[in-house]
Amino acid sequence: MGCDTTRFPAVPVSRRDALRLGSGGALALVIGGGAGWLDRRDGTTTAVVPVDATTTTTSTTTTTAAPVVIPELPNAIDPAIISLGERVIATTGENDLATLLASLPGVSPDPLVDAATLVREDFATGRTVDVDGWILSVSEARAAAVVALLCADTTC
Amino acid sequence: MLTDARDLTSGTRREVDVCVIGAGAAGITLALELDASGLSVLVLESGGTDLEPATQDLHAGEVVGRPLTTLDTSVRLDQTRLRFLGGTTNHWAGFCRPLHPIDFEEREGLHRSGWPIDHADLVPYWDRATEWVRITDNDFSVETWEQRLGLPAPALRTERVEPFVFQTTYPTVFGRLYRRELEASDNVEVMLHANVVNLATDDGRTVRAVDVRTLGGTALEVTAAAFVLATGGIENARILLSSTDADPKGLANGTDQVGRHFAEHLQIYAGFGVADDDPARLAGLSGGEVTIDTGRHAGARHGAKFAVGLTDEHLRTEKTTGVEVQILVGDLATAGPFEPEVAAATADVGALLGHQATPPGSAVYLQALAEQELDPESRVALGSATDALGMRRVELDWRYSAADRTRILDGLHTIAEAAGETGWGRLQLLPGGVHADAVDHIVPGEFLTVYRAAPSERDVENFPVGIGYHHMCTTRMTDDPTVGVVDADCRAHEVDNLWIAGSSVFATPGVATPTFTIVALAIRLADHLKAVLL
Repeated sequence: MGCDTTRFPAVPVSRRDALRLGSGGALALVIGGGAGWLDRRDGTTTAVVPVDATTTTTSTTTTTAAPVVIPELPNAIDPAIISLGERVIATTGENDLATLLASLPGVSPDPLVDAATLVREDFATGRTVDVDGWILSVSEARAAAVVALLCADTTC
Repeated sequence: MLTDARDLTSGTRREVDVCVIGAGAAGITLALELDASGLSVLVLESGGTDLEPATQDLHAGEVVGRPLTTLDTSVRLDQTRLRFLGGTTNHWAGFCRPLHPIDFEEREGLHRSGWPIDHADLVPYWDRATEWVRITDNDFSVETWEQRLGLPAPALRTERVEPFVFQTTYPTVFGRLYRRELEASDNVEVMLHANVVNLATDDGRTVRAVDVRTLGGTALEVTAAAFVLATGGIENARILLSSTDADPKGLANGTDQVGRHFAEHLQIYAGFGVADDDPARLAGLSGGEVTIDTGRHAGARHGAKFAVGLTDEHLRTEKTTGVEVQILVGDLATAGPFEPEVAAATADVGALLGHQATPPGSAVYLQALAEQELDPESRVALGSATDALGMRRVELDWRYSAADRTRILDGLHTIAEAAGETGWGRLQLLPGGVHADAVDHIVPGEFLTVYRAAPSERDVENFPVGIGYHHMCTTRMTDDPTVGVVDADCRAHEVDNLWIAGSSVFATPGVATPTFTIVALAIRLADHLKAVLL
């Protein structure tokens, strides 16, 4: 699956940003609200899109999720992240965007630090998922899945 | 002095204080430790000073249990051990590390774990063993070796996982290294081409003599105050089982323990890794060498390699066995047709994860070594075939269990979690999905053939397990004669003047490579024999 980058805001992403937007970086992107977070670091405008609380239904439970933010992705998502997200979904079966977003923390003012902390805690407590052999933090894996679903939703 | 049994006439009888059977790491260390004692020592070595096919063939046997393999290559029994002066040190990779304190403990949930001696009992002998194996000292702390090498160890340190050090000494071939000392000794005689075919006894309580044969048919007899069997983890058991003068089950085998509990180190090419974007994380992975003036080996270069493994505390709380991983960097430039697969498994996934420390064209891959739980049905027995000396050949029924496999996977998973928890990077576990050749000495720039099997070829339930060429536990050291063969002094429970040296006396295998401890135990045995005989 490829991404139609013309559908996303034209936020410049440096090489280093691109590297950080892997699964761990994807987590920072998601809990940072998306490309707006990258933009805010440069002191420019934000592009966070808040949404209301949503009610989601899974096969066994009905959950009232906290307000979630659908991150607005930058225009340079590495296709590899999307591919990883697709593999996460294939592995876990978790394919509901709102549920995935609700499982992650809300918008963070310091997403890189918070993402690193969250990932560290996941690994320390055994909250991991095996994706094609890679042992990933559940949070970073879910963030990659979010990115993949967002790309899918925008007819990538 | 070095002599040759082929120069003697049949019927020759020799009488010495100590007769050592086998001139490998244990036998040579023991003999030279006794050199200055005034005791007369005769070392009977089956081979000559170099490999001779006819003698090496005496090591051949049948594997009836788990196959011996380096994953994709079947290994014959006679390839796993060598039968000439220096013994199996002739192909020793030179990795040294003492056993861990937990290896000596009786561990809940692990069958027949624990030694009758403590870790502390062996510390002074590991100190002395450093001289014999020619490593720097008995300091295996990560901090010391990071400082000495100027390289960082993999920073995977959590409550459950920590880095370890192997000191390396290569090549340290005892037959070459100590030949001059042996030749110059007045008290120690090494008799080459002297094959022991029987430990003669009248009552099973005392060895009266050893019967020696050359391949040419010369028959000799050696009597001694003390006999020491030092022929390796398989052959020690074979000689005892073959010595049936008093009991058809063999010598020192009244409780049917000889040859049981055969253990190997399980070697697994476990997968790949991607380090975080700090190049320092890769710098020390493959270890290094440095010149250290120890005052003992002028100009010698000493080396160390780092590994990461489960902490003793984790092994205790989880009631599990040791698993360690060497995280190595290999150059893919010469990986030939497999290079795209390797790249797919590492560099591309590295991009996925956003970690790009791996240099272009290289891969971080995982080589694991694991301990197995003891199984009395895993054993050395005698087959029906005979060798050129008329001795029954070995039949090896090596076993490890599904529980061993599960513990390995759990251990690897714990190490992978530590990689993420510490921010080191991410590990991809593909046991059974990774094959490698010639991986023992891979350093950046050297040939590396690694490829990732197609997913359909992976079989996590039955992933290939290789061997470490470490034969252990077949004459275990125990206080209880019903579950072992020798006591805490390495004396056979049932035979007053027979001692055993080598890794066959290991009560549990641990995960550290065995030679350093084999040498330490030989030194300890030499001290004991001096105390008994002088």
